Amino acid sequence: METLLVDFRSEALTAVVYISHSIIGFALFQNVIYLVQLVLAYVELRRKRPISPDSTLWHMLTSDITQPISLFAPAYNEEANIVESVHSLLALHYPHFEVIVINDGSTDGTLETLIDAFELVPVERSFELSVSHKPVRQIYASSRNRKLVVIDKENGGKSDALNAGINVSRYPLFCAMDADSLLETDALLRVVQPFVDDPSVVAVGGTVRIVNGCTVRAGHITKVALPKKILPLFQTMEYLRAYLMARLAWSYLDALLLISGAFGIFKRQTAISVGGYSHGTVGEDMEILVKIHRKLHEEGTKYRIAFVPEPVCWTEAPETLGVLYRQRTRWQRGSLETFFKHRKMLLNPRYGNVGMLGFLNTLIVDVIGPPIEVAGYFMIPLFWFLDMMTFELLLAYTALTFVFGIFISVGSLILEEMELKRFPAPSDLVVLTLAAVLENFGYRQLNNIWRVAGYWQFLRKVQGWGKMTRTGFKKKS
Amino acid sequence: MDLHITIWQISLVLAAVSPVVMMVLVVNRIFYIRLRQNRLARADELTMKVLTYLDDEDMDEAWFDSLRGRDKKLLGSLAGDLLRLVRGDNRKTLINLLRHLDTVDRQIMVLIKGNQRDRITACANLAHFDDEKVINILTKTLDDKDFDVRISAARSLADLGRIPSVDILISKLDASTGLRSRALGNLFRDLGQAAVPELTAVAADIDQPEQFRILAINALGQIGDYAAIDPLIELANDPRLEIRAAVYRSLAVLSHPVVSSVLPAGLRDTSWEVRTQAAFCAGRVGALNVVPILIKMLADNIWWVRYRAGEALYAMGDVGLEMLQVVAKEQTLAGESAGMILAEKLPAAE
Repeated sequence: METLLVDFRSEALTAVVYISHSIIGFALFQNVIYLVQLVLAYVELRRKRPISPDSTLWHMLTSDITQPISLFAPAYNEEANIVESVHSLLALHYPHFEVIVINDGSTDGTLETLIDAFELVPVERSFELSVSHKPVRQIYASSRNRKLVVIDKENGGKSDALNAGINVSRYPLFCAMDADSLLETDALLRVVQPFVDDPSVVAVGGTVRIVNGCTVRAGHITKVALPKKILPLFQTMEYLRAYLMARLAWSYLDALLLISGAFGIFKRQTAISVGGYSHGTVGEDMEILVKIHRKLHEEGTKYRIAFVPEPVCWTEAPETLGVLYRQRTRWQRGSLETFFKHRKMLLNPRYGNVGMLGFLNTLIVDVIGPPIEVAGYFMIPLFWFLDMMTFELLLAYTALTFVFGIFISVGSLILEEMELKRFPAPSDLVVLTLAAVLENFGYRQLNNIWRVAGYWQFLRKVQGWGKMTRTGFKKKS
Repeated sequence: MDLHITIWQISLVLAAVSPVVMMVLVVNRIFYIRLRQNRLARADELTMKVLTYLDDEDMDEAWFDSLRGRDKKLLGSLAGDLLRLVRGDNRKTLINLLRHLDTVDRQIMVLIKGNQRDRITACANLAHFDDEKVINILTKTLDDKDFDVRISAARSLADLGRIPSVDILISKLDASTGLRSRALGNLFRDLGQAAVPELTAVAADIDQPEQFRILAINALGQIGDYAAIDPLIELANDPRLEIRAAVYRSLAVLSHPVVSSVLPAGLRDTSWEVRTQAAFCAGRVGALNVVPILIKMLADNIWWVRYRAGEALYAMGDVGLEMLQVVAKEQTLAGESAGMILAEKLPAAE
């Protein structure tokens, strides 16, 4: 009996050593990926200075060098903000553009508010059903501003609304965004630059920042400031890491898998060629980009997807745990849906860096990362408490799970300060540095737990976005 | 040393050092903000002084002579903004003042030694000073290793009307992406009428990259010289569809009636992209000889072809409108297309 117990303990210890080393090894691998991203982002920022000189923007504004763009603003029950948002879009600096608001079967007064505010009248605008979407009830044009078109359609979700926009638009480029996204007035000029430089560019993403705390007047940010609440503050750091570090690095490697749904410019014809946005997914922004990668690689077409590090779009971040939870679980579901739908691309050399690096990163960071990391939160302290692993292992785990993240977060902030300087006050930088430290002790772990919850929802095939409560920009004025 | 302890120590050091670096940057920012505020305030003062100088005959250049070197440098960097504010004689006076303050030499120094952003701005600023020194440095900058700087220099040369020939542009801007940039197309256009023979040769040269030929064809249309029409018509039979489509696009811009003769071939092209552009061209030219073909195209299997054919008919005035109204009565695809165009265009015209 005693021998059996000894054997069992010995086997258990072996298993613990194996498990703990796997968790730590995985955490190390993840952190190395982050470190590489940070270095690549730095290289990319040094290679091409992120701020366009005024003379370049002036030239783009006054010459016919840029292609016309259709801006899609899908709106569902946006009565409170829609007029201000549309005014802000119509005031953008760009030579040729149209704003297409897609009222996705709102049940509030979104359409009526638009009709009143912009003197909309029903018009005939013929279009081809190149990509599928729910029926269009009526198209309106504004008597006051010829740049504005409103599509009133049956409810079908954001991807369905964007597909309607793709069909109705006639310009070669379109900008997919949220109705409540706030764009910098020269956002289009800055982001369209890759299309000017290189005709093989099929999509461009821009940096999205958190608007909470900023002063917004007439649809424009008049003062950049940090959120007062802790949750949006942590998200400000998160966005900084996601855009200035991760996306820039993946774009450098030609393996960018996500252009935010809040702001991205696409070649219309390319989007049509992949069937537009897919229905029945909550990660439509990632899915369309992966579809584009997949199709163009399979065709052997030379193409490029670019990313512009300059902040061009501002969006509202959730301020409560409940809303943030719903957002994060949805993001996780979207990521998993896309990954498994296109799993054939994983480590497939046919898809170049997208398959070999981009998909591998998704596998590590989105697919197997969260469950392993969350398992580590419980198992590693338990193993140490039961005296089944050494203190050195515990230290290494703590370093990789809590401490190293500080360097990555503050490193992103350092990049921001060196190259962009978009946070106006030095005190903002101090607050953000503190946030970059603190977010590693609780917030990041909470996010991982939510991602596991998203995993569970994905396995249970939960659909839908959940209720997203927005404060609205008006209250921030 | 134990690997695990090493991981712990490295993480700890990096986590400790990064906030320290950040704090150094915060201190740097405090100084940066102060400097920037001072600079902006001084820039406003100098701008006001310049505008006063332009309006006030009693104020002479001597006031500016007494400026410190860094103020003169600041004025130089403002040159582009200032010159955009004024026109006519005031502009000439301002250019003379800036020359007097050695702005040209200072901007040339920035172009040689500055960072990418400042060098691009210096190129734009130098575009206002037409002298050999400027032309030489801008021409030399066409060899710069940075494509954005090269294209800025070329643009400034274009603004000065001193842009080099197509051949030089090709050789200087020949970079992996450079030749494909839409910016290059604009430079071709800015070469003007004198470059039409050269651009025609490039457009016809099948050994040139396709995108490059397209830029040349587009420029031939935008320059607006009818001398380009015959060479373009010859290219309408090019085996490459993108070239043919570009040809009809440019012929549409030129909008000369002689184009009518080549339109039937374009409207019957096997490529829908070419048919679309040819239909657009027919509308621009008002080519009544192709009305029957355009009516047939209202039943084309590609939406864009049907739409452009309908638009072309509508653009032809009463003849086209009558045809559209007749066809719209049919219960066919052509009838549907005609109805669609009438429904869209007629209310807009009222």
